[in-house]
Amino acid sequence: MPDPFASRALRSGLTRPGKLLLYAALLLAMIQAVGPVIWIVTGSLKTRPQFYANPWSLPTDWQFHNYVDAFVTARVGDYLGNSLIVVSLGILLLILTASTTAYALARFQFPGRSAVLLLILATMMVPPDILTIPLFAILRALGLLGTFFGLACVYAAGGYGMSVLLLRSYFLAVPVELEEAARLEGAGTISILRHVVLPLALPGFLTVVIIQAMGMWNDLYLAFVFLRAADSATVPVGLLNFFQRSSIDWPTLLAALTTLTVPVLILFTLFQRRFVEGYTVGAVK
Amino acid sequence: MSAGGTPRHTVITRAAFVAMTLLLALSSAAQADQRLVIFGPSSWDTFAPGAPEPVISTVTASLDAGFRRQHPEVTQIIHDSRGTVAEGLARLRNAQFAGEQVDVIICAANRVNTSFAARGLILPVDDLIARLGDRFSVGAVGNFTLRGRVWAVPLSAVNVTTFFYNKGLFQRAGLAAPRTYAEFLAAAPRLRQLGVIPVVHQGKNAWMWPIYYMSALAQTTGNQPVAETEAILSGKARFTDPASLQALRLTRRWVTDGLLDPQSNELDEDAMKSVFYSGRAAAFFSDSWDVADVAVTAPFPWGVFEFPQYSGVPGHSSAFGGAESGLCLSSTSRQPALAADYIAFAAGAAQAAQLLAPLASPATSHREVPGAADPVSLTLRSYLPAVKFLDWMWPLELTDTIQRQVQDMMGGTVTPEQAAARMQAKYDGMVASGFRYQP
Amino acid sequence: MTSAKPWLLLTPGLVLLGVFLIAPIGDGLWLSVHEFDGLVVGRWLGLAQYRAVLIDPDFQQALWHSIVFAVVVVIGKNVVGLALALLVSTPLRGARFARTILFLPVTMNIIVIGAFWTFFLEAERFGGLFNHILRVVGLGFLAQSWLTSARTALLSVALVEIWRWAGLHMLLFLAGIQSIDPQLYDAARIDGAGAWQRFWAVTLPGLRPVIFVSVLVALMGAFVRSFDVVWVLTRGGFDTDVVITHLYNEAFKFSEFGRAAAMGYILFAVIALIGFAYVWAGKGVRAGA
Repeated sequence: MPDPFASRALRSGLTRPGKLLLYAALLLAMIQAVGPVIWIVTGSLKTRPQFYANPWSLPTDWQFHNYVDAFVTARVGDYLGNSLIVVSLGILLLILTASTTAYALARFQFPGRSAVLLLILATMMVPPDILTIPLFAILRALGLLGTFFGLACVYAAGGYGMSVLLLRSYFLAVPVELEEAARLEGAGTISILRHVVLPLALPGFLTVVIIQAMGMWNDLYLAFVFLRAADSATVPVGLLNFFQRSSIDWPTLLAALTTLTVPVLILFTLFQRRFVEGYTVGAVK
Repeated sequence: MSAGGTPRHTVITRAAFVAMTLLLALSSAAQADQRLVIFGPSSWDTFAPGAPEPVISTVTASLDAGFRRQHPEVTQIIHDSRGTVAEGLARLRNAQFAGEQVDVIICAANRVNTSFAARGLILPVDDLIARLGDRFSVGAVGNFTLRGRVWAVPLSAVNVTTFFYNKGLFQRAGLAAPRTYAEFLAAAPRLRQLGVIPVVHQGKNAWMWPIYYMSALAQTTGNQPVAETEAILSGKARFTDPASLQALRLTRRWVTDGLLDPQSNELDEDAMKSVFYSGRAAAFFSDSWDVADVAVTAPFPWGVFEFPQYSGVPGHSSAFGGAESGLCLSSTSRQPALAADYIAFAAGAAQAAQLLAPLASPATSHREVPGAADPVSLTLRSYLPAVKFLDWMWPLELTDTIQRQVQDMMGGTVTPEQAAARMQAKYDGMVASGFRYQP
Repeated sequence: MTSAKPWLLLTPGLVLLGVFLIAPIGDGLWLSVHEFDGLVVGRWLGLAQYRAVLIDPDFQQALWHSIVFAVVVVIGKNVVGLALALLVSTPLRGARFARTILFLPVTMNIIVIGAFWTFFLEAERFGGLFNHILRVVGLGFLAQSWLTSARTALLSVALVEIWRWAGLHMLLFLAGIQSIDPQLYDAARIDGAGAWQRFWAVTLPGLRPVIFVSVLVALMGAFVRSFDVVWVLTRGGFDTDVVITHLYNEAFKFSEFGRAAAMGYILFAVIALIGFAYVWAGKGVRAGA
């Protein structure tokens, strides 16, 4: 499926040295992006002395038992499950709240519209750290302290501002005529949002979802403060257990990190190629 | 397209999530029977810390079994010690603030002195100390005494600051363990000829730098570092005074004289130890709580020596340390009498011996439990009595500044004079904002 | 457009906002004028607390670091992000695949990032690969302890932060590029415009709304969400203390939550000033505003 932008226009205008330079740049960019992943995979297959002797070499004999250790002693599987629950809840809440707000701000003229926008903008500027204690008290009052749902709410609130801003700009790019046509056919606003606007703004929408999901998945600080029970630990909090007591067991830690990072990458790759890219031409047309 | 109404599958999904949440909330509701919670702010705060996991589990289990025989109404004793040392205070505070059950706290002397007592997280235990009688080593109870009240029952190893060194490398360089700084300095070239860094430090951990400053201050103040610190905190002396300034200069010389690796700030504890174990460095200055790790991991003969004696100073070399952890009574406990009984039981004769035995430390908080008898422990015991760590007296913000300044000084970005000036400026600022030192 | 509709749509969002953002912000503001140790609210301090924070040289330094950090990071994230977006929009083989790869840093756990970059930037003697590479290509005089010397630490952390988020901005720009009408390019080509001119005349103007949001997001992130990267690389030491880490220490190390809250709101005021100035200046470019 050809990109509308990367058309014959660019291809014909490109000279050989220009192409070579671009290829080099692309290669360099990819190497530096993927470096840490390679590093944690190679590191996870070493023994501790080997790792400290040279963190950058390739492992000689591969210590697959590090992975077993990670799952058995470090209980990485439990953390994965907890993270999955929390992130799913958080994304659901975020989609529900952010898309409705973004749509209202994009398509409707009403008094107080600017005020709402400014309010949302203002909340993005407050450092989340200082909200920890007040949020603590509020969650406790609501009986949500230590629950996945409570943390998911905090996550959704944290990503709300940026998501609204981004979704709004993507919604604005969708042609109004299509919505008006649907309205003439008798569709309600929610239906229009779900069946007309979202599909057309899908690349942007999915981008926002992916970005927010990543943020929630990798959050350490909030999960640490609000989910204190050992059994509820999400992935980042669970990983903290490696940094305890005497020394850091790097190879096992890297094995745990690999198991946590690589599937997410693979999932993301599939997700991105199938959905985000598949809608380029269709969306614009 | 469906007009209006939410599709059924969405409704079911939403209901499922709500149900799941309710289930989670319900399952975390407190049990009705009588539990006791022994809380450790960090994963270091357990019984027999530093011993291998199975040993910790065994001694803890046997302690709990013994206590429950005496108190059959207790159905469950929960031990919760997790997380890093740095997060410890936050973890304890959050747990208490959330209304979680916290009865007994295994508390480090440092924390008791700097935060727990002042912030009302624990209750004084003078009566418990009286109940337990005169069984504690010299200075153990004093380590937990603030403003005339005792805040924890000591139950720990007595640890002291010490140098660790690679005997093999020293022998190859034809050296013995140095007693004075001058000796060490003379030995350095021979070590460097072997391609070895004489001394390395976990500089990345800012909190480990002040022990150099303290060790020098002990000597420059004629062995009155505590009195000098009190004077500084009361405004009668300053960090920029000769004694303190000289202590900083002497510390800086370790780097400029080529003894201490100038890039030590790159290393955290793990990295430093790995440099030592791989034979790339010959010595490091730390505390005897590292003995367990070194004994197990060092692939060469190793030893300890006391901080060297500087020349031209009124005092002699001394080690810092003491009984470093104990049992505290949480101020949020709803069953303080039971918690007190547990503490008394654990610190009592029979139990204390069992809990302290696996530590193999130079000495313990209990007189009747002697330290280990191996050569290293005997050497370490010869350093006693140890001086109280000065950062137990400094207010936390000042400690933070002192740590950073010494770290920056050793990294070469500030001079000793600048470091002293900034420490003093920080303290002056705190006083101006209303801080008052209460001895 | 009926009048009740928008407010109905806004309800879920506003409830979330109200309970989990506005309420804590208000509560935090109240706490910032009291002495608060996390458990017990102490005496009223009023604006004196703010004054004490503002004259504290440590805080002033942290604020300065925050601003320098933000400037470098915002420019970096957007320039690199846009460059990457353009790069992967070309018809080069593997460009599509590159999009996924280049987004990887965004997905990485901060511990991985911290560990990797700490090892990578270390002194060569202790295993630092970057200094090793510098020496091998003849630039050995540039080798230093990037993360542990005061001169270079802040910039190094900023570069890691740019590295981390460039992929996100790349995606944002990509989505924007893909919504530009291809006919505009054809028209430009017919008029004889070269690749570079097409960029200036078609791509950049078409990306204006996205650039606007991208810079705003970068700005917020650089000031407010940079805690992880600084903490994991330097713990705020070596002159990399930014307001966020300083605030964290104040709250969780020293238990001065009131002061920490005051610091947070001062930071908020600074960001609000910059943010609203930016929004006001860019009013004309927001489509449909």
